Amino acid sequence: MSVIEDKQGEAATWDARLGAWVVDEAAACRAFLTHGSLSPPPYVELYGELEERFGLDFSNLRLAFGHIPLCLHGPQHANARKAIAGQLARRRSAVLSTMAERVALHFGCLGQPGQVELMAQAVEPFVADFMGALIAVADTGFDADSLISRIFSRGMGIAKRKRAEAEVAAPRARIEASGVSDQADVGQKLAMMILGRDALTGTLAYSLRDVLAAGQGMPFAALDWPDLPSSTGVPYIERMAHESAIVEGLTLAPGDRVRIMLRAFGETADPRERAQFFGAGAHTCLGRPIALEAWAAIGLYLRGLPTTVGALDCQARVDDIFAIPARLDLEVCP
Amino acid sequence: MTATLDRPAIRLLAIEALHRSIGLLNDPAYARLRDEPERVIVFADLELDSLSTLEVLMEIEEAVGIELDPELLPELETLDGLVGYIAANRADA
Ligand code: HEM
Repeated sequence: MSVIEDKQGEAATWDARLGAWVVDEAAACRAFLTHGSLSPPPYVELYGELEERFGLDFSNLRLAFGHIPLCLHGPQHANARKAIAGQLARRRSAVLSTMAERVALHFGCLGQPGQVELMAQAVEPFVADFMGALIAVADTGFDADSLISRIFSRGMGIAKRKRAEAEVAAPRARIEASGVSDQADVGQKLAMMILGRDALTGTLAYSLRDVLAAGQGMPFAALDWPDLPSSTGVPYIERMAHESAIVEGLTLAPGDRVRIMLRAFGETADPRERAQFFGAGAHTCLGRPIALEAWAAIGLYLRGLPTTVGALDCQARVDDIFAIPARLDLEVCP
Repeated sequence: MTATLDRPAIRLLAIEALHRSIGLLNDPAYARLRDEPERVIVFADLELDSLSTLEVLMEIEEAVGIELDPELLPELETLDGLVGYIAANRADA
């Protein structure tokens, strides 16, 4: 049980176990996200210290970190954002032109009556395929349950961090084998996989769960498919004050941590607010437009199916960074 | 690897790891810890910073062959909590 006590004001509560303030209300989340005195915590620096102090090698992760905008500041952040925006722009039309085909391939299992485990049979293979298309590498070699996207976790020990480092070696080799030799290009592609894969998996899966749960007993054709996904796979993000600041009445000293619960935007009454679970401010998600295209394409395909939504069962995966179902079992009826 | 380590041995291993990382046994309050098998050690009292926590757990991970995450410590609370966790989760458990 985590110890939460209200120490200051109403915008945030102090979680002693996390050692962070927790902001859980949509308007306050927006204010914290866009405040200039807060920046993403120093994710990369920790790996540097681990290498220096314990003689460990995180060279694969360092290559990726060097291109992950979330890990960079000032002009380096701007350059990394520009580079990834360029990658996404170059691949956009190729990804869009094959989207319907890709959705049909992986969600086709919902077109016949039977029992489907949506994570293993549809969502994970779709996302693997989609992310591969985004970085122009057919098989990225990322395991569905790999630790790579959890490298931002504060709770991971050294053994897991070493495993994550080893796991990046496979996709790095695949990217290089696909003919990409420029290391900046390799790093940008790794960065996109790390940032995009689990966020997309969790968002698609939980939002699909929401739609199917609301549509039990209904033909797929009659499903009410919202423009924006309803639940996010990125339930929170963290910020650290790099200078003293007062945000929404909360006094922060340099180094103070804040956990901003983005899931608040999924629960809000106004669906337009949901777009903000892609973040706000300098680090707003660059994958949002293409992720929304994927969501819309899945909706379009599912509403064209001749089948009916039966019993649904969802089990959450244990994960301290992303919200991703471990299983999503659906009975598909005639 | 772990099959030979019983609870007192795991406890001792953890004490040595804490000593190497933060010099625990140099603190008069903990100097006789090796000979106090019943003593309750609360992690929060040790004021381990995040690097030291990782260092201590890394040493134990390597010795007992299981993954130990720092997020476990507040939950396990005490040295004996950690020892119990390792005993329950090691490969031969
Ligand atoms: C529906 C799925 C997705 C969700 C919910 C999501 C959510 C987010 C959020 C909340 C952030 C901000 C993190 C922060 O401020 O700490 C972010 C950043 C980012 N996302 Fe996504 N994301 C998704 C998919 C993707 C995809 C498919 C890509 C493709 C590459 C991507 C690329 C990025 C990048 C590059 C950033 C960093 C921006 C920066 O730091 O300047 N995301 N995402």
